[in-house]
Amino acid sequence: MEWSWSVAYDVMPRLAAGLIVTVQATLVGALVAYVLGLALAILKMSPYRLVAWSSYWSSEFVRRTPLLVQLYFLFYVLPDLGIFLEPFAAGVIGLGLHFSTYTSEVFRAGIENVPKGQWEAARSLNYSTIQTWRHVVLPQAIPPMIPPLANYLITMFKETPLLAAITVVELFNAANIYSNSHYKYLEPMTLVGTFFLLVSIPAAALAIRLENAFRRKA
Amino acid sequence: MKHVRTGGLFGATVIAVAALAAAVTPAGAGTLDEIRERGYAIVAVANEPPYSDIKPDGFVTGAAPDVARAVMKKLGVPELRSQLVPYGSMIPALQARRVDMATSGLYIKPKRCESIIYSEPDLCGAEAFAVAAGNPHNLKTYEDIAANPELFMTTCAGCAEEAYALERGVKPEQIKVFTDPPSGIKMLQQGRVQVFALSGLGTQDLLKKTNDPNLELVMPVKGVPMGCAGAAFNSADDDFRDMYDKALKELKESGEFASIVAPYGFSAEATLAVKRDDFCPGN
Repeated sequence: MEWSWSVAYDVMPRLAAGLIVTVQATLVGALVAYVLGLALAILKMSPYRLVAWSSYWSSEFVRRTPLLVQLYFLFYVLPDLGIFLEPFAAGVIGLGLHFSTYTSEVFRAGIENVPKGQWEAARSLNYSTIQTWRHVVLPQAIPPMIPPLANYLITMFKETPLLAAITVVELFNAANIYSNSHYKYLEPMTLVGTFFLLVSIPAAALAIRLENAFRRKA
Repeated sequence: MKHVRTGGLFGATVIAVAALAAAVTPAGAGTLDEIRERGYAIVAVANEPPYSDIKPDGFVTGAAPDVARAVMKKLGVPELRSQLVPYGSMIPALQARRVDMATSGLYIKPKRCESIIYSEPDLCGAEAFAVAAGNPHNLKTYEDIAANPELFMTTCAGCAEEAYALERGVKPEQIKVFTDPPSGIKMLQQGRVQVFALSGLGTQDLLKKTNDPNLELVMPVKGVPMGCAGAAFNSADDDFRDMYDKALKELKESGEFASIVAPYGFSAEATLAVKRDDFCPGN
């Protein structure tokens, strides 16, 4: 087993293209996860039993099944039902949907941490529901949520190789395709690991700084 | 007491390191002896009928493993056990000695011969496409795919078909590699790709099983050589390979070979007409 720089050099452009797809999938997936997660959190706390109950169970359903199975379902089964998604779209929807069930718990905890008195104060000031959320609850609930949400972003980044299963050529899949036709695994896979580290270590450091910053404020 | 315990630990470490070293030392000439002692050979197959077919109970069959089983019986090994390995990973699997041999219709190709050694050819066949019924884009060759860059094709990563396509001008962006052949057919059915490329008999078998009137077989694909496969070995196992060749030759001469491959749709004559040296001289 010998490291070959010519192989590393040869595979690099493909990996760079793959890394771009990986980052795109992470960012779009995270956006879906945050927006959907917030909506899910609010629905779960709905005073209407049926709404709260059905959103709770559908979120549990998604959370308790593997992401890989969900991706296969989105990619290979939905077209039979007339819903045709491009590989990238299916990938970010799968990733975002799956992680929205995790982020919804972060949002729920953050919202429940806003003291009851704040809600009562808003009501006594005759705020509407939307005003209460927008001006009273969310501004207090969101800051402590940021560190865990950042951590989920890093987790999602590391889960993107699953998209290879539905033919998205992200970082890992780019390396895998190269390996399959050149029979070299050492260099491509080492570089994939290195690329992931290069992004996730600074991101983790940033997340820790965010956490400290918000802890000091609290 | 403490001293003794440390000694014991040290001793155990030495034994463990020695065992590890023995486990990773490449077995060279002794591979066949080792397999005989074990009583079974571990073979890599891609599960692509009719080349190779793993039954639900784990029994490995298909044309290539059946030939290998008959050959190995002659060499005193009664049983084959299979490991599912995609085509693209077979060479690394052989090099890392995760398997004793690959018996899955791995085509004999010069680039592969740089890394592994082959038996004499055991299966030859034409290439095929699967396309939508009526062949709306009129695809008969890889050049036809290259001429229309809007089209997408699917095949397996690291397969001969991928190389045929790239050598004939198909752009890498046009190739979406499938994870397994049935999902490739699914991608064709859903219109994610316009053409599915694989070995002729493999494609035919898949289409028969899919039984979708909206799909059609294009066989043979013109302008590409007939693909011939052999059993593949680690390049250090030339003694084993030579003995395998000798037994395979007996099998071919006795006519038993033809009776094994013919039911799967392979032509024994086509295979008997070629030699390994036609593809990889001196391999």
